[in-house]
Amino acid sequence: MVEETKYMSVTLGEYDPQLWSCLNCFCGLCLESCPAYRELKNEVTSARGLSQICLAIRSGEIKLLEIPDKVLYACVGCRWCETVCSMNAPFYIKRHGTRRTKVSGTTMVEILRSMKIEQGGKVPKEISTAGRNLAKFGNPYGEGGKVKNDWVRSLDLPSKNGDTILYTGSMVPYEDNSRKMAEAIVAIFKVGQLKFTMLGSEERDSGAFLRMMGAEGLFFEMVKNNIEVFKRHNINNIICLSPHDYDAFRHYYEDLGNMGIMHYTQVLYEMIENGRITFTKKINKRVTYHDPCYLGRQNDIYDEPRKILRSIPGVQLVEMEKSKETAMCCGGGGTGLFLELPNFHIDKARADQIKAVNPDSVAVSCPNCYQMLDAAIKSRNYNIEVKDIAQLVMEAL
Amino acid sequence: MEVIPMEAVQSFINEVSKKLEADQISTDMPTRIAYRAAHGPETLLHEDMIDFTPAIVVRPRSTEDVIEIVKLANEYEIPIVPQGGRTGSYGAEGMQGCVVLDFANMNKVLNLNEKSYRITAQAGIRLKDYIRFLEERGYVSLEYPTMAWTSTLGARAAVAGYNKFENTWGGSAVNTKGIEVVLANGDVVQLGRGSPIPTKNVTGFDLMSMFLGSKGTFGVITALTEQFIDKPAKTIYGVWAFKKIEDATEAYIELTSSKYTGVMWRAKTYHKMRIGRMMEVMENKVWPDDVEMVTDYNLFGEPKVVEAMEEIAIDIMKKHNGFWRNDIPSTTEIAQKHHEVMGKYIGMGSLFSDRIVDGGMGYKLVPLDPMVPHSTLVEAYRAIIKQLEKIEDGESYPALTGKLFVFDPGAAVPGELGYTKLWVVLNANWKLWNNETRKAFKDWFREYAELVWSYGAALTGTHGFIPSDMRTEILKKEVGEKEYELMKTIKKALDPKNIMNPKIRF
Repeated sequence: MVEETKYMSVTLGEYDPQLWSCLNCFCGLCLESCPAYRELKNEVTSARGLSQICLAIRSGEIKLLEIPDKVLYACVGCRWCETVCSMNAPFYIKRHGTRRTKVSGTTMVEILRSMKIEQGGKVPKEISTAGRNLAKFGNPYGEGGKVKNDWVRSLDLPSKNGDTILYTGSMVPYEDNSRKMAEAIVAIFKVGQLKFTMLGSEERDSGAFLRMMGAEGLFFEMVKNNIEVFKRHNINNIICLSPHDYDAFRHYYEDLGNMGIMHYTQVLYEMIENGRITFTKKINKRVTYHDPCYLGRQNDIYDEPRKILRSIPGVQLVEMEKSKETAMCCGGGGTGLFLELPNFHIDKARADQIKAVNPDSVAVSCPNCYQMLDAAIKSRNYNIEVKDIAQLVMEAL
Repeated sequence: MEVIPMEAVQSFINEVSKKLEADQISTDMPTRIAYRAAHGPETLLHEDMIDFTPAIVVRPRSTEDVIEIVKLANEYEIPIVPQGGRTGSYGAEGMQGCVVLDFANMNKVLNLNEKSYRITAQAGIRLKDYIRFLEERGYVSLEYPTMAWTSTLGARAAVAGYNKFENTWGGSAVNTKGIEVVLANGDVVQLGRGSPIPTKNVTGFDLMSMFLGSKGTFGVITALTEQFIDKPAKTIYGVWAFKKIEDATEAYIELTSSKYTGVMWRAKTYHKMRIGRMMEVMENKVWPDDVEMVTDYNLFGEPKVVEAMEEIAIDIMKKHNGFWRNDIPSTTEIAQKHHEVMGKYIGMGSLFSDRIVDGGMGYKLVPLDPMVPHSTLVEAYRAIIKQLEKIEDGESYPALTGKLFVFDPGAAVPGELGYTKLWVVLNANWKLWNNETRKAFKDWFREYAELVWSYGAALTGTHGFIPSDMRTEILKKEVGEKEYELMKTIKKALDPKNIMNPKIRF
């Protein structure tokens, strides 16, 4: 087999061994915690169901464009299936697995969504609109660069301040919760006298959204553009606000060289450990932490967020039943942030799991999770505040 | 295969759509495709997956829903295939034009009687949830299959499933104490051993046992009452190496004798072929070639009893030349790694395949698992290994060369007292199979079946697979012509139109 790189595009033909592996094995371990299956109770949206559908497309038994949207767009890309899959556990894959060699419902839908676009299929309006906006404006909301530039100016940062950027991604400052999250991080960095800069409107989406939508061509354009921007500004370190961007930079960018890539929770933890920030106030709150899929399962970052929370005076950290590797998605992965399918409420199911441990606050570390859980908890009328870890840290400084 | 008339299928779909909610019914092709295959190897033996594709998938929410579906299926003569987790050896595949019943919505615990050690639940509850429900209350489930994450409770009764602690507690056929069944005419019956819940009755006969293991051919199980037990205070695991199959097997036979049944919940042998490969790919460790087998045991119970039994177990192992050496991976490694693999048992199809080498395709498991009396176990084991060698020798069955491989020549697991389920597993490279391969496999299987019977053994222990178009032939030989006719008579009385999972042939 040709040695491959992780950012590589995958075709259904190249993915054939994984599809057959799943059909051969048929363990169904992916069902137990697949949030899409949990909602719809239809195996068609699980990795086990999708692999059979992919094989049927390959054999010509069914046509891709006849597949209902609920099948193609239900997967939220949480990669639970990839983690528990019997065929991924034994050994080669565990050690060397890539996007091409792991059995993954997420990869399957990304391939199918991409094929649908290539074949001129009708993509749900919410997704096509967000995709067009990402391509044109670098964010899914269709906002021009002035909004982001004005916001960055309002933060009053030094114009040239080292080779590290805080990469806030494409939801900031357009979505309120994400903006508050970013502002808290900036404020903490200032307190800790961290040298960093921000790129304003030059910072476009990492491409993570586009790959999940199946817009592979636009994804690669975005990658190329971002690499050029980073090189032009002589950037050597990227601190990501969103786990999705963090994951994209780590796994899907081929030319970043020795670029240091960190999630902001890793930086905050270091600042606390090094004494660059110290807490002066007590927060008497019972807090639970929601692991983002792309920080936890996909990148094994479970400890730093918890250590930060435990270090805040007065915080009592309680774990949900589904936490760390088994944490359930907020529903905002994949295309879930943009497309609401009928009778499909992963966010509310997660809100119920949060409620089960009776916290005052649920701490998040991802803008997608923040938006989804905030809305879900409000719609359930639960008396629980959703706060980013940075906001909780800021409260205690 | 009999073709179901399209008009009848369409009429059934129209009628069932009037009785159930829209989200309980799927007739779209992607969903039908998603519900046609199963883990078992039957699909290997067909050229076209269309043979397994249902016409409709229905998700009942209650026994009343099942009654409506069955009545309509009976009226329009549509085959019914009830499905659980589809991780069994055969029976759960769809069939062309059938209605698949998916019990995902019938997953509730209905009753817990702690003083009488009885729990009643709907058929669709996943074993993982069921086991956890009991564990949270300080109990142990006696339904403990390897694929607990995916299997459903109803399917355990339908296949008379295996239980990890079978040496002491028996399998599903023992631990199921009551079932609710919807018959082909739409009647609902509550069956226990003589009466619904108690295990004994002075009148009538054991109707329930006829349904256990019948794979949905007599009716649709909608709820079950099972027995459970208190959590034992202490467990001890031990594993010993042996240079000869004979020694390892004799040690295993003695460990599983009636003297120790109460505390020896499980014992098992492993051949070096499988365990060596496992250690090689998981731990990068070379298994010493002179260690042919290992035998292990799991002791459960009160601390003093378990500790006393451990001393006896050690004596038994030593008596049969059991030993341990530094060049064998540690007991902990074997226990933990094997448990890790067994937790994903079906993924073992990757161990000898390209998947383990370069991330290519894994194989399909073909489980054989004869039930062998201990009086002939050692001899049968050697003979079966010779029969397995014919698969790969390139001469006996050339059409199987490169398409079917021996994964495990046999792991001994306790069946009923004095009998062992010999877990023999083959690997098939499905993509390479053609009609020539299929014929060769069936020819090999006939020879294997005669060999198994010659040792007083039966073909199906835990997983034992039999190709569907050979089942009548095999059944007549294994149980006898008159007994076969009796089965047909009972089937006809209960299901005169043959709609209940008719691909399971009589």
